[in-house]
Amino acid sequence: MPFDTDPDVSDDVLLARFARGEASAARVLTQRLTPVVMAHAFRLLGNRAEAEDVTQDAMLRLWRMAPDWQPGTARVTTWLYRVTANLCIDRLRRTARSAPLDTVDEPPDERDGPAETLQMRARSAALQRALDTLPDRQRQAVVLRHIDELSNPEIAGIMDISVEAVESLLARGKRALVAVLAGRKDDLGMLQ
Amino acid sequence: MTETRDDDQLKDLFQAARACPQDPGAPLLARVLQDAEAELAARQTSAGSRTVSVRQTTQRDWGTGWVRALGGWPAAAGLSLATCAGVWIGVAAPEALTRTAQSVMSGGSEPDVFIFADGFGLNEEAM
Repeated sequence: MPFDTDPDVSDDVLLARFARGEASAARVLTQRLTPVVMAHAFRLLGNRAEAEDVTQDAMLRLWRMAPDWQPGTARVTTWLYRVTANLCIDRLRRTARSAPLDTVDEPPDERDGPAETLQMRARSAALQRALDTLPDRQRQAVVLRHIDELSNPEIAGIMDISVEAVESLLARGKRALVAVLAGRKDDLGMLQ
Repeated sequence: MTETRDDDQLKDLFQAARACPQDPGAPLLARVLQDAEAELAARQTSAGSRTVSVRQTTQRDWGTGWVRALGGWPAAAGLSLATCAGVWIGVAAPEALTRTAQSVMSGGSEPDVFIFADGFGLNEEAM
């Protein structure tokens, strides 16, 4: 699949082109947005196979919504974050998160590398395990803010809550993460 | 204060998570693109059937327009009834009507002509 051939063209414009029947726009959008959705779904679900299912479902909803998209009203990624999070939360509620933590999928260990890379991967995996212990809304807020790096007002729009409520979820979520990871501060190189 | 300390402790972990995103992989990208192409094909098919449907609607509108031009459905029904009555009279006319028609056509009788002697009340100059 070709790389994003025109990074200056906005998602809005590409979606409008897709709605007019341009298959090439779908190729660029797939390349550009699928990794974003996949990363977010994995962080919320902690399971690669389920994250893949959710990603495909969210992208399918994007294709179906394209003819009705109003350019300039919102960012396509904001819409996708909302849809992805809703699909993830539905799944989590259905399965009631019955899997014990040690069965949660680790990110695939495809690349062995220098110690620094291994440390990064260990930290990422440890964070994922800790994220999995948070209540759904706290986890969503923390992932959107600190991994997807969205602003609090953007998160408020996605989660349909006030900015103050976002701040509260973030504070409680991070406090809980620190508590969960407290026993691993040394091996993860966390500040004391 | 507490939140700042939490941020500091988690900073490296968040950075690591951003640096190790889940790669969607070629098979998932292919499935997503396949869905997009299927959606495009389905939309083109439904657009084709919508065109047919619009054409049928246009034809229906044309018929409805004629009815409206005649004065609506009651007028159209009256016209139909009158047409049927005309056809019926032509096919099976009542006997009295046939006799009168034959008499007129054969010249056997003069039609009644009423002449008003006073010229409908008009004076001669005026006539």
